[in-house]
Amino acid sequence: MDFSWFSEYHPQLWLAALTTVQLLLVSGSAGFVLAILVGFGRLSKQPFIAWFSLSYTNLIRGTPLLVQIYVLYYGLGSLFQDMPTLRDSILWPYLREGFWYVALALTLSVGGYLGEVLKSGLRAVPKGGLEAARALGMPRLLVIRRIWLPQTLYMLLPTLAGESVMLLKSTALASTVAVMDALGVANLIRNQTFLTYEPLLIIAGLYLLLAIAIEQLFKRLESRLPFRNAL
Amino acid sequence: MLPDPHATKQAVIEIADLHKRFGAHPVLQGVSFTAHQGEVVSLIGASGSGKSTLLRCMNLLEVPDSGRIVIAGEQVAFRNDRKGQTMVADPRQVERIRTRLAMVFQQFNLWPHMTVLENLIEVPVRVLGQARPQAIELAETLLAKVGIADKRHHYPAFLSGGQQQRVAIARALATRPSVMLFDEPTSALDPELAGEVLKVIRNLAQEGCTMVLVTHEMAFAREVSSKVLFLHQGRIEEVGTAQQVFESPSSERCRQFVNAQFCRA
Ligand SMILES: Nc1ncnc2c1ncn2[C@@H]1O[C@H](COP(=O)(O)OP(=O)(O)OP(=O)(O)O)[C@@H](O)[C@H]1O
Ligand SMILES: [Mg+2]
Repeated sequence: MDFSWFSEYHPQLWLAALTTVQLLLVSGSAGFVLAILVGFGRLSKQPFIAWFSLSYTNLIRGTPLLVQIYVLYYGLGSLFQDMPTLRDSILWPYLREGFWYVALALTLSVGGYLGEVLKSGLRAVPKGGLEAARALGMPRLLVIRRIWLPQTLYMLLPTLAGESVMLLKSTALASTVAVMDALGVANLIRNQTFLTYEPLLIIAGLYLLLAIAIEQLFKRLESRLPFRNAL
Repeated sequence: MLPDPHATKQAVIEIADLHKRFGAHPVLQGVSFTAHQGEVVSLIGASGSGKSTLLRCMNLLEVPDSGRIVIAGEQVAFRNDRKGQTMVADPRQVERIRTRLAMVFQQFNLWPHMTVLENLIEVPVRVLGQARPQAIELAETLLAKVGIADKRHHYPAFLSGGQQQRVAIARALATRPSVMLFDEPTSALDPELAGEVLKVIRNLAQEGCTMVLVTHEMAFAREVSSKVLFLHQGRIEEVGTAQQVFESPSSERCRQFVNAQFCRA
């Protein structure tokens, strides 16, 4: 085992780890918001909204994430390339970067997978409490914000932990479109040092640590809910 | 001639010619009645006669197909959607009306992720715009009144059914409603737990709280009601004071129902 490269590359390693965490946070939170919309959309009484949400989840869950990333990065990216107005706009530096295409792809993916999870969770909340809220005069959005969604999310905390770890692992696909995330930098080090295992081992350890951190965070949250057995 | 006891009292609920069907099944077929301030109106009748549906039409948890509903002087506005289905014209109005009617359910329906106190202040603070300290003060008074002040920081799951239902009553009272609606508040409870809930409702009746009560507890209905409605297949078949309905009903069916209920008890 040869770790002599570490002292030279470790600033890049930390930067890459930061990129991975940023991808996780950006697509995690944006995807979460999207998933809430999809979850409610799946339960909508409006046939078009319900149909659209279902088609969306089918599309996302029925195609490989890597294909989605390629479609966005190469497809959308080359489309943007041909639009002079975009090229001159202040958005261009972002539109050129793989990071934002991967973030978008992951967001859409979380929206599809988590949306389906949220749909089941929303459905599992007892109707009686929602009815009581309406009967006491709560407007629809307040019922959702204060009664329906909180109970759903508390109930789903273990699932959310699992989905977050899945998302963390999915971020590694960013390296396929030249993003210098954790895996991306490991590949770079491999190419430059001709070492195969050492950089990969380090990076695997890093993913593992992040996964454990996520699990612990959610465990902490869960143990703070004194009513968790009642949900 | 005796003066009409309600002549000076305001009508809080006016229902006129209410119709409601579920699919092809007519559940309410022209129900009319009025509840005045301070009255306790009991709805009795066999299972499936439409008691719950009538109660749920009052606060628009169900939208009637036709008829008139006036709550505290405000008439509910309806309109027809594209398919000709009746719906409420103004959701805001419904929310406003619902804050004047507070409902207590058979299954308590407390919010499990909030403590007892949080359950009580949620609507006063978030909907009625009360200041939090005042809402807490009122909530604690009400909890003391229903006898569970010591449980205010507990979560509903840690309370007995009787305690949960008393919290639900306090939660309803905390919105300072004009009328309390009860849908079989003791049916899900063991007799000894039902007793503590009935005691709370009896106290409210004595304080002059206006109530509409769906119940199978005939003895209790006879004791507290100022008016009793006997529903049969979506129609009011008998209406009168508790004494009239329970002791000398004009409808044979009502007489049989009441007798059967008392025999069972
Ligand atoms: N949401 C609904 N959809 C379809 N049918 C319904 C619905 N709610 C009630 N019904 C039917 O309407 C009829 C009257 O129901 P309702 O609940 O008003 O009766 P009830 O007098 O309260 O009976 P119980 O004493 O059993 O509570 C019943 O036949 C019931 O099956
Ligand atoms: Mg009923």
